[in-house]
Amino acid sequence: MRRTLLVILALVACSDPVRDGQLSALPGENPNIPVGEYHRAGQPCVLCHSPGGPASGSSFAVAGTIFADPSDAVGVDQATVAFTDTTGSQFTVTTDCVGNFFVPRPGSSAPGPTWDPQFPIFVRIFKNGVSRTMQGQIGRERSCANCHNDPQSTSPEIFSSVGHVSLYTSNPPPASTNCPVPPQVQP
Amino acid sequence: MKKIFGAVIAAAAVGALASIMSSTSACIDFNEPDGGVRATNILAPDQNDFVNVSPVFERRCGTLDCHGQVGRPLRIYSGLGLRLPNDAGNLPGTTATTPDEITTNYRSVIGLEPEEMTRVIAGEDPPRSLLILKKPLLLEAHKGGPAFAPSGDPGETCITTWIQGQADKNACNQAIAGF
Repeated sequence: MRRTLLVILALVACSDPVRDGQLSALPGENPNIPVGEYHRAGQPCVLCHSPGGPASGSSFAVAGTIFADPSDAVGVDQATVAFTDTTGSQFTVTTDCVGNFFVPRPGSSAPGPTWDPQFPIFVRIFKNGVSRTMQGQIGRERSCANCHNDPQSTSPEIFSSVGHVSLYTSNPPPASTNCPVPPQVQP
Repeated sequence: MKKIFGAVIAAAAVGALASIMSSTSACIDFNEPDGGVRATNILAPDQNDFVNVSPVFERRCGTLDCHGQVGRPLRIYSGLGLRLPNDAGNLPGTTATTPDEITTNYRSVIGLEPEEMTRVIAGEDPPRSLLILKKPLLLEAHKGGPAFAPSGDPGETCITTWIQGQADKNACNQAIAGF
């Protein structure tokens, strides 16, 4: 009995109700996309990929998804995401074929160079001469999708959503045809 | 018989308590000078001059991931961040900060610590005793880290001069350059 109580207390002590609530609000995994670099496009990556999260081993400093245009959730392949932090440190990363990108933290098991930015950070995305710069700074949020979530504000009740990140405003080029998974987020 | 007696005693106790509470609330006179709304009289910096200061809060504090969230204290509205509910179609990133949003930001800033703001305006405490400076300067724990440089940040100069009588417009403009 005493041991059971200790186990329960330990579980309760390790729980973060804020994170748990956010995790439970996420859509489930797409069964057609294996867990890996292509999964959960458009979702707040660092919710799991952070110390204390369920994917803490491969924690990210910043991560997100670049989509083609504001209306469709089709990922952009090989777009460059360029960051500058408050100390002037710069870091660039390239998206995969579903538009996902991630910046591993120091000590992370995720592949690629690591970066430990000092917030606020500034960001620009570009590909083949098309460039968009985020107008404001990122104050402390490491997942793009926590602010850039869908749907974009269109109703009187929502005045905080700016919609997903998109490189083109209209007429995007065709999506990647060499992607092992569909580059469009399935509803 | 015992049960009935106990129930009668309990009912009498509840009735007496309710009677005391109703008579107590009837006797309280809140002396509400504005006709029903309880208010704290405070000293505050100039509201008109805040138009020069609001952009500093908007750009340095009010991003959607920080104080541009409805769930946070010191809620800040801005053209690039959280919009005040409106029927004009003002959405994040579409139009400039509106006068109503600046007024609401002023109330957020003043209403954060009204008593301490009064002491600062009265000259009893320094501006750095206010959370709006202690937090970004990391003189007190701040989840968002240091939003201002420890010394000489034009953002601090802008806010401090506003509190002291007139905002230094050059400092306010410098504080948002690049943000």
